[in-house]
Amino acid sequence: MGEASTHGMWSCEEKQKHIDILELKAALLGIQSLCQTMRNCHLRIEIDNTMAVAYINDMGGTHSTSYVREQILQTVAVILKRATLDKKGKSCDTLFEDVTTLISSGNITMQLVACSMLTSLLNEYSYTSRTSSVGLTWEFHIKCKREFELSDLKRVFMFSLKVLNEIEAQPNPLSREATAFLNRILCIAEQVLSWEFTLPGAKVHGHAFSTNPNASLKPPESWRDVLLEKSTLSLFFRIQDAIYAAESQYLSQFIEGLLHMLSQIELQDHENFGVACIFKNLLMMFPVQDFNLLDVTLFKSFIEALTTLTCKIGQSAAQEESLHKDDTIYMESYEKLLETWMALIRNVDSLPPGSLCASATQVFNLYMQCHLAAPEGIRYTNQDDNEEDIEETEEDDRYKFADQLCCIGALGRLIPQHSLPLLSKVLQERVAQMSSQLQSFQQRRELVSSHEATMDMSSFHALHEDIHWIVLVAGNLLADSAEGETPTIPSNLMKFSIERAKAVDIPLTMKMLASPADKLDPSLEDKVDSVIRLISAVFGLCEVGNRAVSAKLTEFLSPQVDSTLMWFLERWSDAYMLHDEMDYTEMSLPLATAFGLDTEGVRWTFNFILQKIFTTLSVWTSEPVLISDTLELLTDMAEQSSRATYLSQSDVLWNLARLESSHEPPVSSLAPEARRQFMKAMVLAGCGIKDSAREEQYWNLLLHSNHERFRHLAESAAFKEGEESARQQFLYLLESLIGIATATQHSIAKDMFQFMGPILEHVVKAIDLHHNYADVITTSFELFSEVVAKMLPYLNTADSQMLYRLCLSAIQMFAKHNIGRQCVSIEDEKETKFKDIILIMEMLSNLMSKDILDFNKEELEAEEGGIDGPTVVTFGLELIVPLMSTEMLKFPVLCSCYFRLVSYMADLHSEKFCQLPEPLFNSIMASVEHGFNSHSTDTVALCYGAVASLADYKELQGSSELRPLNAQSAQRLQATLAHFLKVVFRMLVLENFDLALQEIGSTTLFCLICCNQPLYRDLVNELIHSQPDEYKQRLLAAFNELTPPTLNMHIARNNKVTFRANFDVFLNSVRGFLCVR
Amino acid sequence: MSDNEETFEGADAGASSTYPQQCSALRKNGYVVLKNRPCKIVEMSTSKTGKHGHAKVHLVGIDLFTQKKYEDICPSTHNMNVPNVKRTDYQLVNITEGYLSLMDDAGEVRDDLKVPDTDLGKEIVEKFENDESILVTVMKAMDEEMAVGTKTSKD
Repeated sequence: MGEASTHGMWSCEEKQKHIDILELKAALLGIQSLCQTMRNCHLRIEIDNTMAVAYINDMGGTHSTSYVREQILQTVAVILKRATLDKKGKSCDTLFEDVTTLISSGNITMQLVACSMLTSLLNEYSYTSRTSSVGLTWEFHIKCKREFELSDLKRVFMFSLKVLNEIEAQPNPLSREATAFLNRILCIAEQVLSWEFTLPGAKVHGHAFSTNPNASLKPPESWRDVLLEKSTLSLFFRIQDAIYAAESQYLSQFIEGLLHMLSQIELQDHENFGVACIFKNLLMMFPVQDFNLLDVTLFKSFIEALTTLTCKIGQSAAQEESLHKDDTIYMESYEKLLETWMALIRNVDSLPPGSLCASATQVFNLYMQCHLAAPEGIRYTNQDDNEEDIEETEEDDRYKFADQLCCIGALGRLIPQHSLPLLSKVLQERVAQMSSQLQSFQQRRELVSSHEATMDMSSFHALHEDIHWIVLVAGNLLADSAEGETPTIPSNLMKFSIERAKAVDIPLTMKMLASPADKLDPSLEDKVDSVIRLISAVFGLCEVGNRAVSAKLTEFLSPQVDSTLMWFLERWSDAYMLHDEMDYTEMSLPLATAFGLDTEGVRWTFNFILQKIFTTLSVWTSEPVLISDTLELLTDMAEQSSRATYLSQSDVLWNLARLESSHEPPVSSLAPEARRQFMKAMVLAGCGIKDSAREEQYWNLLLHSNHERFRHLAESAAFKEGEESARQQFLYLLESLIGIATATQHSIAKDMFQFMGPILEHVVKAIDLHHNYADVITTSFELFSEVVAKMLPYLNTADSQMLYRLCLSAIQMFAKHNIGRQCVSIEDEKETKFKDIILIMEMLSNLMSKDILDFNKEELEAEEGGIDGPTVVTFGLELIVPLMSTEMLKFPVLCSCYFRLVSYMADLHSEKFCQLPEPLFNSIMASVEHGFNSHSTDTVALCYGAVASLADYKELQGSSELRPLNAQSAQRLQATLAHFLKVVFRMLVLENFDLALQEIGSTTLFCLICCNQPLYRDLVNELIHSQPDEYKQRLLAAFNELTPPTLNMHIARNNKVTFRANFDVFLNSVRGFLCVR
Repeated sequence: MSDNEETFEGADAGASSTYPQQCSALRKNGYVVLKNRPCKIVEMSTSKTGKHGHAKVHLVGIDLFTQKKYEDICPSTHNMNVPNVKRTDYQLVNITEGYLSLMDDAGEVRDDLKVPDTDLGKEIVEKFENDESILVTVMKAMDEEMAVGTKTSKD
């Protein structure tokens, strides 16, 4: 059948060369679909290469538009590829000849056609997402690719090199056409250089049609810009010469070439990025040892060039930033260069000592200059900036420039003798300036009673900005970000402090620390510890702020600076305060005296920081970001028990507790979210109190008043009548309770529940009373969810029973008012609309966690009539599932919440799950099947988990130590599992699924097979039958390997493991021909 | 809906129908008075004038009754008025000439509320004509009232 129609197609296409684009496209599609239908016939393409090439010669590009041309060429490439495995050593010879002719024709259009031809060839053979889908098996794609690598890839590359050489020989400057051509050729070269070679024996189904960005040759794409430059071509060629030479020799040649190039040309804007990438890739790809092997002078000039470039680009980046340009090419280049520095710093020990110091100083200084105002700095200040509105979505500098700052901090640590005094000095100067400015503001305000006198704020803003940056750099210099490991004092700084310790006058240092507002006599600067001096300078800034607040000058202060300060204190205190001496091989005496365990210094510092927090809370309640940062600091200090102990000894904390007790500002006027954070921090701090009498007193202050207020409100007429203000008060109290619940730990869980239990009774009533107010409902369930999550695992049976009962009645109340709910909502269909449902599901999931995580191992048989977790959950499911719809499952959070709940339930309470009422069970299982199509791997994994648990349960039923299911449920379960076996089988064997799911998927498949072996055999036979003869045998063999007679078809751990391994092999051997693209 | 506006436009936002609250303590999905209209806050963001300036709160509210959008921006230290919003469920007894007859828990019947000119209104009428027994939720704020939801009553 093939020949006639194939010919037809071709002649058709030839005839229609002048006709509509659309028809040509149709013809193309025709051919592609033809390829698909004939996938198993032995297709002999009579109209092979010659034909195709003749076609190009005839008409390529002369008449057709570029789009059509590209499509045609792609078709030709597909045809060639189809023929790859048929041809007998003929390969693309003729094609190359033709391409050569085209190129040498000198006609630019022809040349571009030739380039397009090569590009389509590369695309088709690359086996990536660029490859067109023509219904070939994966195996075929891979074979073609391998074949292409063996024969033609190198030829394409050599070809492009040849052309590049020719172009280089052309006189300068290149014409526009020639540049376009050059660009195309370079693209081809680049594609070849980033080709991902198929490794012999590699898993073929692993990266099906995904583009791997880390190709084995790793030539960065960013070279393109650079390569365009005429003078860099020579460099490009040198790389080629050297590519097979020894690595270190290659490196030195490369660097020489690079330096030569840099000295020759003036880089243009966009080229900076490319060069920065070259530096970075050099450091990333070559081990530092290779750099050590370099000639000393060469290495030196390499570092010098890098330094100069970093400084130059850094300056331009700062300029770019201040002008708010959209194009941030300099900033990106600068970041690449700093990454290069980071790579160097990481390996600084294997470089000659001190080899980076001079450069580090230069880069560090320049960074400081760029961020300080004139005269010392060169920061460009834009007057309009002070007027411009900044949205909260704008990222804070500390995050936006985190990587940069981290690198600058690391550079600073290389040169502590320079960076520490420098920062201390500039900070102290500015703090002094601010202090005197504030004083003059105050005086002027006293003179002019009204506010009419305009004060020049712009210079003051500049001062704020300077301080903001100095504190940012100081924070990054002094400590690492606390994520992950325990933060410690950086070793460089520790070493430096130890080295200088002999000359340091410790009492003087302590005196300086304890009097942050006083100015240090410059002659004494050498006598104090440099690290502590910088810290003291920051404390000085805190002190000036405190004084301004007490002088009622808050309006002149910057919330941004205070925010940065809070960040600094958190980061710094994590590493320095109460440091564990066991973490260090050597300890600096000044640092140990100032911040070590049980020292006067550390007590003073705790108090000082708390005082700062207190002051901030009392005057800045209207600044949400600052308050949040402040409370984060407080939480951070309270979280660790050793620090909480010190915290709880401070009067300031007790003061806060007393204010809470009498419900006075500032603690009573915090914004709702802040309220939550505040209570959390206070409870955590309370856990640090050692003395039990004091502890009781503290809890009394903190909790009793809240309890009283709550009871009072809940019983008030205003609340029962639903007055808005009473409801707001109620919500505010709920926020406090949520804060308390989140902070609950094992040690206090029982007491906290004693406090919380009676309150929850009221909350249930409130859910009934205020069912019409979404905010009350959502916040109440949030509280329930939090209480269940944090307290339930630690509660004894009686308390757990009580909590289960409370949850049940809360859900019942919700159900009472929500069956048949239909409400006009002001918002559109948003996830917030379903927040109540999400929260209930979260609570239910948490309820079941008691069965996994039970820290209260108190064996007590549940008495008759007692409630347990699953009962509540079953009830909850009965309520929620009818409210769900497939539309709702499109919301990602809701979706994952729902499936987590379902899979927990299926796993932990399989029996209850199987006995759910018929319609409920069916709709849940339908939703699970729907869930398999989800895009989120997590969701799919949960679905697999749910199905596997059910299969597990079914199997156990067979072996039966369990209570047997009633006949109806058992039958239903059997039918469901059979259905899912079909679904899962299809999905895993025939479809391209996410490999992250292979493990859970194959386990599930195994469980399902165990439950239903006859059906599985049918499915296998059916599949084998549907395959063409050539594959039948292979498929049969693969299936035999998958479940060999030795494999015990019983759900047990070791069997699962064996099956998983078998399945991996199975996929590897059959997906190549089963899966089609 | 425009009927509503005409009828109640002149209504005085009496002192008891609102109460003041600091701007920073408002929350999304809460209520606020914008341009003298009771609104639900659908968007709330803060911004500042200049990097070292003080926070301002930007509020976007949707009129509870007319669904019109209002915006306001104010320093976060300022106070805003919050409307007292009340929602009550009534048993639907009858519909006559476009007016709902509603009975409260105490058995008092009122028939001063119009069938709302919305999809919900149509639904109420439809359900009523099908003889379904339904509850109607009525929202009241700043002396204005409107039916905003229905539920199947549970008897």
